Amino acid sequence: MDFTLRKIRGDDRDAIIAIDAIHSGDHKPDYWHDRLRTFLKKSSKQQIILGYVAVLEGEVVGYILAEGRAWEFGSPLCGWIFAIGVNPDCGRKGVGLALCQEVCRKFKSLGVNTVRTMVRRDDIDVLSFFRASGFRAGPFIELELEI
Amino acid sequence: MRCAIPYGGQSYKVALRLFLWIQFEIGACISKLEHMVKLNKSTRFGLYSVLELGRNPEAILSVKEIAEKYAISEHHVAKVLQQLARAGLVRSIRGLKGGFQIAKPCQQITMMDVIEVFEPAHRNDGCLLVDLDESCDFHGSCAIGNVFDEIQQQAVATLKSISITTLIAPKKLT
Repeated sequence: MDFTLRKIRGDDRDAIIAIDAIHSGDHKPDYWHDRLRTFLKKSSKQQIILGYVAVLEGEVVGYILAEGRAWEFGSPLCGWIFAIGVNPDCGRKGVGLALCQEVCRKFKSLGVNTVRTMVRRDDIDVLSFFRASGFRAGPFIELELEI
Repeated sequence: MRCAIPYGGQSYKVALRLFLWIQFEIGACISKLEHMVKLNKSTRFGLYSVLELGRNPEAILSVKEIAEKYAISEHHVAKVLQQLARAGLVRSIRGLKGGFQIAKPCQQITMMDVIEVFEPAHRNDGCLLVDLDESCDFHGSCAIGNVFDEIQQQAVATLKSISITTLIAPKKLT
């Protein structure tokens, strides 16, 4: 499949909202408008903010958003992939892998040697994707409490 | 029901009973936990066989070839392969150059698919505290059972997400 990768732009917003809505079942423009603002403005030198999209025939078919975070939960600087999505019509064609590779390459060039993400336990497709890409259980256990 | 510890025990008596119960039961819990982690021999041989056949999906391998490679019992591997064939994970090919071949693309076979063929299914929603044929009225409200449920869910999600392809050749991101 002949797609290209490029940095995220303001006019990618609607496509990202649409792809996310397909996967999550929720259309949440307010969240994305707010969340993407960080990725669209020029970040400071200390911040590592990475956002890429995959484009096929002029259309955004996938996105990835990641950032470097230091000392959260006591962890030294590491990269976090906190959102990734691919249009299902382009699924299993290497789009997600290419986006992940791009982010990892960029993180590595910036001196970040560990990348983390979090996936729902019942989301076997996404879990399998990260597993197949070499991700393994990390040193943290996520805990939650219903209040 | 012997295994269940319902929530809400506040009094000293209940706490003492809980303490004594833990002393008594902890050995059994550990042995069952070990059982959970340590898979039976057929499962291990099943994983070896699928892995070996998955490395070269076109190849037809004999029982002897697989058994020799892992230095394991030929008789046991033969039985395991028959079970895998019944489960549709491998295909048995008759004839002079017969043997076994992987029956599906390896990215469609997960570790859990293989494990499920050999590990007995729990009747009690997989609670590791009770025997396979036991039932438990306190399922979902048992403090100790809930901890083991948590571990079990994590283990199942992990095993379901790792395909044979991932085991053979995980992709490199950098």
